[in-house]
Amino acid sequence: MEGLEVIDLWVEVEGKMILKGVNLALPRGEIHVLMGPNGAGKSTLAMTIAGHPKYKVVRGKILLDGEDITNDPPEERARKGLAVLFQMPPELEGVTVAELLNKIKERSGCKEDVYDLLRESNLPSEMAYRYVNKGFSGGERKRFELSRILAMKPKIVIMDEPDSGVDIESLKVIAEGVKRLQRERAGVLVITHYRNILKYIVPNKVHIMIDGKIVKSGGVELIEIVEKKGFKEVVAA
Amino acid sequence: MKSPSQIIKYYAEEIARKLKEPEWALRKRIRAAEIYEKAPTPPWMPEDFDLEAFASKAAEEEPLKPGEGEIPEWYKTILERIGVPEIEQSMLAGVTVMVNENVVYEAQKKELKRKGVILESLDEAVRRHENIVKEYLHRAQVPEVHKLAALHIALRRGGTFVYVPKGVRVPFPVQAFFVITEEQLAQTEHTLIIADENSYLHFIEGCIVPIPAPYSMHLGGSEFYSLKGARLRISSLENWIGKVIHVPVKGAEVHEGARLEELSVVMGGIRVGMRPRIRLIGKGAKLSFNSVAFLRNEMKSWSGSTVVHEAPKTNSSIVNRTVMKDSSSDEFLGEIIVKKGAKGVIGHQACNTLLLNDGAINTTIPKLVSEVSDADLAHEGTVGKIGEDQVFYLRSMGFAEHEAIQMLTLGFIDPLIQDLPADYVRAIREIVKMTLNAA
Repeated sequence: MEGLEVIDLWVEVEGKMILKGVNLALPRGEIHVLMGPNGAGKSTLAMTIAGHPKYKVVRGKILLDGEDITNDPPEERARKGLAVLFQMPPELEGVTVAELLNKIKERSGCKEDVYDLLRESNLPSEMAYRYVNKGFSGGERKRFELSRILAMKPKIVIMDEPDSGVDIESLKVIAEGVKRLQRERAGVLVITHYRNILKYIVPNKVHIMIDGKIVKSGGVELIEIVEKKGFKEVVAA
Repeated sequence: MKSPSQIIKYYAEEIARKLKEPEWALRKRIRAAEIYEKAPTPPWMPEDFDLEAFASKAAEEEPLKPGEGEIPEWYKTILERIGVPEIEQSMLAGVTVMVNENVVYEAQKKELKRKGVILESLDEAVRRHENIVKEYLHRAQVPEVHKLAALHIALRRGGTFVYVPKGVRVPFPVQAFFVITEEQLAQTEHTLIIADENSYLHFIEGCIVPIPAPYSMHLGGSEFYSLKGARLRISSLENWIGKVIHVPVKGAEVHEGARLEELSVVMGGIRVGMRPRIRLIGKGAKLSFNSVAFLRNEMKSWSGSTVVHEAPKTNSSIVNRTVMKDSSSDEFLGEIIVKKGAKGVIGHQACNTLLLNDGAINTTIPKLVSEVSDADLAHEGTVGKIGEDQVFYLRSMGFAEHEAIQMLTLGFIDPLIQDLPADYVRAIREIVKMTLNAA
């Protein structure tokens, strides 16, 4: 399949099993939403797909365009077309936005210039000379994440809570970014436990994760049920 | 058997004779030679120091100028990568002045001359400008500090002299950009820079194109004077190739309402010892002193500075960033002293060390001494490695681990070097990259 496939994924973090057999298929060109209560394992799934060394895959595999990337180092996954929007991206003191974007572009072959990439996220051009994430507001961080992901020209994007701690303006910008990625035939998985961003994007599918497993998948109607009755009811329904 | 002072005196006289120095200059040398024996030994003094061998080498007829073949191949690569032609371009754009070799850009030279700025070799200035040099030479850099400070004064030779007259502002940075000049290869060269009242100067000295030094110990010295109301900026970049012991002696004075802004970048060598002594002697004097060091292999370093607040409302800010690799070691001693009567002083220092691997050892020792009650003194020190979160963040964008470490290491020093001209920033970055990549 062209896209991301997660097959029976079991993941341990510091000796504790967090993911207990996750199955997920995200074709390119589709937007999926992953919802679930705190501690369900959503961020663990994002970090495991990204290849964080702290997350140990005990069983199962991750495929990108049909290729097994379960044991690839993170940089290899990125080069094959995977991008992850960080929930809390760290500060990179001394590394300017322009320098980082240029280096990413060099690798991905992205032709847009730094200012255009920033403009895509509604960030001012002066941002180019600031250090990455240093002194950025919550919204600026998320918007910069979007810019650098656009520069990566990814095939699959995992967004770990792109809508947490941001203002309405940033939310709209990120939603536009998701749509653009979809137009460019990327598959986007939006992890969230708020409804806010779902006012601006229309997902092809919604997945509900509880206690390390995807317990239900369906259409946008699931969001409504979650909103009204909570996660437990969705499972029962 | 001759005493150490007698040995030094013998060679000091020989140097003074060769340079045809006036009597007053010789007397400074003789006095330093006498102080040598009583002065304390600095911790960075080589254990097997051979005084006679060092002194005779310092007094040798002409320092050896290494031939083309002695410039290592990998260094030429740096040159190409940083683009020497671009440096030539900057010279044409009127920012580069070379001292001691006849390549000072003519228009700039005229401009400096018209404004009364003196820019020449110190040896020449000692003979020609007694009225200025005599008063300042070895006033901020004194022989009593330690044996090497005394030895430097006794055997001083070569170096640069810059004098900016009262009220003169030099609109372009003056760069003593030594490619391969004999003067700068001298073992005991001295840089004397005086910014007279209400003047402004940015002086940059860089050894971007270094070669293995033709000696084993470099005992250079420098003195910077920012007189009443002046602003003096000094940026220096040194990269020592080979097994050089680099132990320069430095001193500075900042007068009433004046500023001194210094940046020092030191790389290379096997043993580095330097703790500049900077005196804030006039009311409202301000100092900003930033230093960057990169240590590797078995390098041993003694770094830090002594800042003495001798007048009220003086302000100092010291920022030191050191990157350490392999089994290098560094002892940073940051000393701030506030003298009696110096009310309303602010003195802050920050020392941040980045350890790239286990085995490198850093010791940071803050020493804050105040003789008055209202001084605001602070020390901030951090020692740590590169953050795993940052490395993973970059790897998730497609950068290999070593690329991530390189970007973050360059980032660590970037805040201190970003105001330098682009050529220098590029050179520093290239040297750091090469050092990181070297096994």
